Amino acid sequence: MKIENNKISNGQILAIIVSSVIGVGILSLPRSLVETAGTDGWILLIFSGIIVAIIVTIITKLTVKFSGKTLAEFGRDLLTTPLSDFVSALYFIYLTIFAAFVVRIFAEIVKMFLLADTPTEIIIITMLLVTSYLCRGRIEEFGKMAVLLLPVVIIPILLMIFILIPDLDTTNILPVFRFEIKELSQGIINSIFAFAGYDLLLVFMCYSNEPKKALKYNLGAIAIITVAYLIVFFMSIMIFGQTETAHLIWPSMSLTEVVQFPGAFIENVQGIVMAQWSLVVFATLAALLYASSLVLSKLFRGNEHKYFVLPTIPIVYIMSLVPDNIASAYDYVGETTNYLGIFIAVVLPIMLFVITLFKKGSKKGSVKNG
Amino acid sequence: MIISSNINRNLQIIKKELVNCDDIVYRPIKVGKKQEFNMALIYIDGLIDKALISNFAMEPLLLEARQEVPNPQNIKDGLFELVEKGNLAISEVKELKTIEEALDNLLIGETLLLIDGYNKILMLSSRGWPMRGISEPQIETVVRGPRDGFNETVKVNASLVRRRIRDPKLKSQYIKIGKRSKTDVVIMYIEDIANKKLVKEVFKRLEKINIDANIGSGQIEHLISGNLLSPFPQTQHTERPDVVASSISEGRVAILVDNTPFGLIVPATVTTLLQSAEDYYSSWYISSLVRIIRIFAVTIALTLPSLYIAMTSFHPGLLPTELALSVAAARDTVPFPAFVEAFMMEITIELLREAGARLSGPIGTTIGIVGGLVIGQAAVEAGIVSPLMVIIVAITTISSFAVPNYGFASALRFLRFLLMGTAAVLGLYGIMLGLILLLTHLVKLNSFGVPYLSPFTNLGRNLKDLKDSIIRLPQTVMKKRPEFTSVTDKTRIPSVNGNNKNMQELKKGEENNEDRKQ
Amino acid sequence: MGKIKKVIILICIIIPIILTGCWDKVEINERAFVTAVGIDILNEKETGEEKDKTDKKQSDRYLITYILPNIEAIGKEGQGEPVFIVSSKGRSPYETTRQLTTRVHQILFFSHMKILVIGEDVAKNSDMLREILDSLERNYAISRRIHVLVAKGTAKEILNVDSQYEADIGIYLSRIFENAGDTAIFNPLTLGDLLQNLHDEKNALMPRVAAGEDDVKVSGSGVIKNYKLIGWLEEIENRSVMFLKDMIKSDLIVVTATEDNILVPYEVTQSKTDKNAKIEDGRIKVRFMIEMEGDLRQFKMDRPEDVLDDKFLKKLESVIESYFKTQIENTVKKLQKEFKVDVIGVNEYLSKFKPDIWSQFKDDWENVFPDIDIQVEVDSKIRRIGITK
Repeated sequence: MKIENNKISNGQILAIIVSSVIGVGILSLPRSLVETAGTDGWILLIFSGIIVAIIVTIITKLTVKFSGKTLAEFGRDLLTTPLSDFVSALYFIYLTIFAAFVVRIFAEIVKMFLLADTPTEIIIITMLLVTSYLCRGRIEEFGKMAVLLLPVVIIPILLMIFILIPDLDTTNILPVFRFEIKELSQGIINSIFAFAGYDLLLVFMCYSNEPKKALKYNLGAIAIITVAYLIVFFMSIMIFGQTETAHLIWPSMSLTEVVQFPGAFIENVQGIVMAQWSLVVFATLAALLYASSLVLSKLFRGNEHKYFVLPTIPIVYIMSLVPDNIASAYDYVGETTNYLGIFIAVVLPIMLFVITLFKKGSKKGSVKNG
Repeated sequence: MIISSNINRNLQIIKKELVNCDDIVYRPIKVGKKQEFNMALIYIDGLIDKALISNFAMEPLLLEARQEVPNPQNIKDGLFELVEKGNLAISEVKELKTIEEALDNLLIGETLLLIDGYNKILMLSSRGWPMRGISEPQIETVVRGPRDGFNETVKVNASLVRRRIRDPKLKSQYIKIGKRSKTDVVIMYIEDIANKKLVKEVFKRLEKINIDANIGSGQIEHLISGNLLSPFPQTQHTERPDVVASSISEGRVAILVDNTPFGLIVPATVTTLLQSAEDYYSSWYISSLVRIIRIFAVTIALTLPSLYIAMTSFHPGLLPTELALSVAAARDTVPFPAFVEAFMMEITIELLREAGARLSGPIGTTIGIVGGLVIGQAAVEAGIVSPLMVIIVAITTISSFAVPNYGFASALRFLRFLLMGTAAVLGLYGIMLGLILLLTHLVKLNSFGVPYLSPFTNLGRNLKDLKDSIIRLPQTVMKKRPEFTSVTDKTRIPSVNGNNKNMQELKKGEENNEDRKQ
Repeated sequence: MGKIKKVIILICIIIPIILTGCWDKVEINERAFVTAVGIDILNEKETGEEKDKTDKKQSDRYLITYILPNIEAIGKEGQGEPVFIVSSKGRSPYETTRQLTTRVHQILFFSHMKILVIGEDVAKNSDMLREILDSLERNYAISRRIHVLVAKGTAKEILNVDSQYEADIGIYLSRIFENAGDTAIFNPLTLGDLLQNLHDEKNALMPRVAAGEDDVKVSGSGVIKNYKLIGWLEEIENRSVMFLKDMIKSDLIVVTATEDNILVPYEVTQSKTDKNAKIEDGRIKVRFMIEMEGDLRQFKMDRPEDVLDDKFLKKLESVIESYFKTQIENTVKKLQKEFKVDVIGVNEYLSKFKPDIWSQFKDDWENVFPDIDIQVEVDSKIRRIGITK
């Protein structure tokens, strides 16, 4: 009989992070990289990966120090209670906006490729309801689901390499190293947001059953994500060339059109890919929804997060229908990520970590003096 | 109720309790030199081994006991003296203190011996009823493996298991379930392998059962399942003692129920439910391949009709062009939409299955073939369904028969209809939603505390269980017992090639012998 | 009981949602699978009434022809015409297609489209070409793998050919592409390639199709410059270009050898083209080095020459090489001087491998290209000569 102690393993946390980051970002990633840095986009990606790895290390050290406590709780320790509540509220808003964005883009793509006439509302609400079934459960179940979905996320990306090999034009990645530093630094902020989702570590690390060993796994997650993104970027460039990649809104999706199984039963791999991608989006959405209901429940000093899932759904639903079309959807998110996102994902962990250093120092100081 | 010393009074009480039970036989005997002592044998005709009672109870009592002069004092003091003197050569004799106990034993099939002047009743073990001989299991047949299957007598079944594991640590504990049926249920496990918490949980759940009459292990399965809303079985059932034996030695617990040839094994996970005994008797290449085919079969049985609906009604762009055109041509004459067509055919197949289940033997198989072929063919010619639909339904049905566990296959049957429904509304997206819901449900499902999807859900220790899940690696590689049972003794095989302690000890023993010889 | 009640409530909520509709459900036999589309300019005389009287510029311009397989004709009980060929006219490609829905009894479905034929006139009109291509690119349903051809004449003519092989011209043409395999006679262009080329360089080479009595022939290419058809390349010229682009997998070349002009077919089995570029005297100098190997397929019976002779083969090789070099150089000249369009990929090569040179000249490539010095070197080897001498 297993004890149900509300802890999940580090491997499961890795799975959660990987599957929640590689969600919607992967579709448009090649395009945004090429728009900023041309064929050298991969350099940009690696830089961002390293920066994110540093931030993840900070977050891991921070949460390990307060192992067992959720963001809201150790937030109260480090900052004053009202300030920490404010931060939690901001985080909740960030998560719900992100979730609304993810589900909206997902619905748009489903409408385009699979179900042209079905109302967007239906697609969104059904996905949200199905996700809420998982989110109302315990963290162990969520961890298990993430591990189950991990191969679904990773394996197609690897398969893509093998299938596309005959059609690749490797010369398309040339010329190399012709970037300007200025262009790069603009682009880095954007490509860090391809990794958005790593901040969920702030929420989920407290459930780790072996916090001391967590760093290895978290960095592994970032490595996996970076490699996956690199693969998609290279595939895109090598098949389409940089101009076309910049022209397509979702180069990764168009990649699937090019894929052709030799003499195959399925002429259009796109269907399978859509099915697989629905699972990926589900994983991302579930992580976001779970985290947001956790944050909300801690904000209201509740114990069970599951009661907060259903109220969050209408909020996400309404927010997702706010943008009129895809362009304004990307716009809204651009705004959010520029301010809220940077704060939550970059400034906040660093700030909290620095405060812990100080607090430790001052505690020691007071002991000495007193 | 207390037994009185007066035999007539006892008989009266018993007869009143068992009024209108004409299958109970009361056999008064007179013992003693002058036949002055009354005794009575009570038994149920049909439940006892009559030869046993006649030869070993009545004969000694009637013949030899008459030669002795039993002392009334003795009767009170030494019950077994009488028995010895009476030469009751019965294997099991017990004294019973209350009328209720006596009746319980009588109804099981033991014989009661009432002795005048004595306030206890003797139970003579005499169970013997006509039972089905040990025959080949009906549902789980195996090409290369033992052919003995359980029958309806729990003691026989337990003995079949014991024959395979001759370890004193193999425990078999009996409890009775059912207020009126008092069905014997035996719980078997290996003490130093099985997880103690698991065993305790099994007992706890069984003891919680509060029903009148228990008819079969299916009922018990249902009553000890943690989650009643799930269509998936949370215990594994089997007709084969070798399956029980090997499961027990993996640290699981078996529950054998009287009057049912199906034993239950807990905990159950998806991988155990998709295994068949055959896997362990064939080479590991073939077994791995077969297992992969089984997973394929599960997928097909679950999703094929819904994929058909989704592809033809919603996304014909996903089919190869020629296939799409020929499907369109085939469906041109069909008046119904794809969903209705699929639904109708599936319902027809279910009807055929039910009908085939009622009729057994040659009639059943003929109807099956006739029904399938003729109706399918005729339906196509009449233009009610398209030929592709018939093929799909046939493949789906065959795939669902490839699933070893009947409960699991039934769950798939049920879920197939749900998926068809979601496919009809939202096409491929609907199927994905349905599958996500299904997956979430399975992730939440536990069987006795063990996650249902066990080997696949954790990156960590449980990954080792993968050796015996989708594929089956050779025995030499599977040295440790599966993780999902959290066993106390982890090593399955000490070692294979002569490095193990036993072998070393043996060798040392031999060396010692040789030394001694010299 | 609480749990079961919850489930029942959930079901009661879900069922009405489901029953309200399956919005996308279209039975497969109610769809019209378009396999080929041809686009032409609407003849002045055939222009219908102007749709929008306020804007005279918006008169019908497009005449689009569609091929729809007849579903009832498939299968053993097939009857009727195997394909339907319909035409429709309108102001823009998308609108023209929608017009069709007023006349066709099924829902048009383009995901199985295989071929797009662009009429000569349309190809010469860069605005129309750009409109058409954008509507195709933006549309998710039309695959990037369809083949695009330019018609000598009108597309309608091509699609209406009553072929003896296959009634559906769409499938017929796509089979030609599939099975032609590796010929160099035309450039197997897919929509994806076309779009990529046009985005990158505004130039492309579209395979040309011509209608015959009862079949169609795909050979040669139309040269597109700045989104406009400016000329044709014949078979031989097309082949030269394919060699320069290193896209040859196998091809047949016929040369004349020996004094009495015996025709010797030489089948190229492998070919590789390397490029090199440098700046000399302010001009770009590009060198193409083609290495090919092939088999001798035919000679003439009972001739004094011994084919199994190394020297003879060497002589033959040099004949092939010089023949080839001449052909390619002629084509290059035509491309540089007459068309002034770089379809042989010099710009691509420079931008990738010699970015410094490229950055100097890229803005004015159209004028720089005719002036660059292109040299071609051919090295051919005869590997196999069959089983007789």
